[in-house]
Amino acid sequence: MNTIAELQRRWEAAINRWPVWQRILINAVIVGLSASLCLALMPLRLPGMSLLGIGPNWALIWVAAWSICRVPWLGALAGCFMGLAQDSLVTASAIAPAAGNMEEALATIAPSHAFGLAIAGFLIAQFQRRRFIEDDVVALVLLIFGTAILTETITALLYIFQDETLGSVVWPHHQRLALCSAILSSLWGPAVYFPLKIWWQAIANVEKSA
Amino acid sequence: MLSLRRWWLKNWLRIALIGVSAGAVWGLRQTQGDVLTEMYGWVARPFQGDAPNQTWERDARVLELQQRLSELENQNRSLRSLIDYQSKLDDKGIAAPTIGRSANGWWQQVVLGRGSNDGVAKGAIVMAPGGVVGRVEAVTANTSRVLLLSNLSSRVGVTVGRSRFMGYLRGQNDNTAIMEFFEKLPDVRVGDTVYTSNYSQLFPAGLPVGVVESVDTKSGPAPEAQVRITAPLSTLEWTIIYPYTPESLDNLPLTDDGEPALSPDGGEIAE
Repeated sequence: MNTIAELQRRWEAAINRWPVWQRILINAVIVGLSASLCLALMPLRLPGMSLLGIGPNWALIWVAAWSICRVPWLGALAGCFMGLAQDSLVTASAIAPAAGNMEEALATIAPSHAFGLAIAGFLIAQFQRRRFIEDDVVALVLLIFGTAILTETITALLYIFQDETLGSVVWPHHQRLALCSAILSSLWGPAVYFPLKIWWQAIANVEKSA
Repeated sequence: MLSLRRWWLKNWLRIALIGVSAGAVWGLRQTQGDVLTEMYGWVARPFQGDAPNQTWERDARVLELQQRLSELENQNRSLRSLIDYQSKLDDKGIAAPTIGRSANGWWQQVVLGRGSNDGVAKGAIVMAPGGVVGRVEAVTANTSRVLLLSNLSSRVGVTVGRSRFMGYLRGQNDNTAIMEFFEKLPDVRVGDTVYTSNYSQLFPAGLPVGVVESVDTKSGPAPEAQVRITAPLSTLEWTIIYPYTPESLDNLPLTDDGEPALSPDGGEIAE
């Protein structure tokens, strides 16, 4: 235990010696890189990392890790940005006019992820400020589980809002998807949260002492 | 004024960083997330295997050939009515491994490990043992993103091979899809093969899609059939990409009175 505290002290001392601009720049790079990495992981399905062909929602995990130690509006903003970035990974589709006034396309509807993730980011930051649960990892896991179900429900509603005939397909799919995504995301949450938490904790301590 | 200045001195960096993030997200959207897909392709590269040789693939291949054969017979019969019929797909395809699936649980999408460096272009048709799988919607240097036929809100023009009745296929997020007919009383039976239709703008006509599993003529507003997509969409490993540029409606063979030629059975296409 002592060695960990010692390591942390030295590490913070090292960060403290950096010029302020360097600290801010490196922090920005780490934030940008971790967010891009989480987005780039989205198409990945490794055995053991997916249930029924559904993988963890890495974008939500990152938003949760970010929001849990920040104010609600920053959480909502990060969720919004992350959602818009996630849209870019799925919303390319050509719509072609075809015979009989029929529109032909492989995706006629594309609800944005920004709503769901922004609400998730806001709620996570809001809940954590009240400190309902002391231990932040347990809180993170529970909050990811809840918000994963919430974001999928919002997407389902957006689908039905745009085309109500989809209801019979959307709800059965939503049940399966929300549960699998919630289980996997909450299990993988700490893997993203821990490294980011160590870094942000160090930055916060250095800023407090300065 | 002073307090505004103090606020600005305290917060300018935060506002600048928010601006930079907004710019980055906007750039991602403008480029359809090319950087991220390319990054993913680069990371996934070491894990791409060699083309497998499995029995299910052989069986599916045989099934696909049978379907193609019966489609060719049908086409042969109707060639007399189609004057300048010609094949629209190149024979040379590009074999591509699947390196990723959809970036969320709602979209039916795969990421393939071949991109513009290998000659893949947007709009290319993706086939797998069993039939059509989907269409390339975005390309980076080494990856391409394919939307699958089974996508939740998809609509693709298809036709029943035996009777040439047309309709469109609606994806259901799994291996079965719903075919909605244009006519009130279509001639369709369980076991009929479904192909992409002459009127499809996204796909060349006559590619095998699936097999009719059940028919519901009483459903409204139009009769429906449940179609099992023959290609194994959930376990795709290797696919073949065929470059394809869609024809516009103007290039369809015209009849004497300047209307686009109707389906070979002469049926009107109602909405």
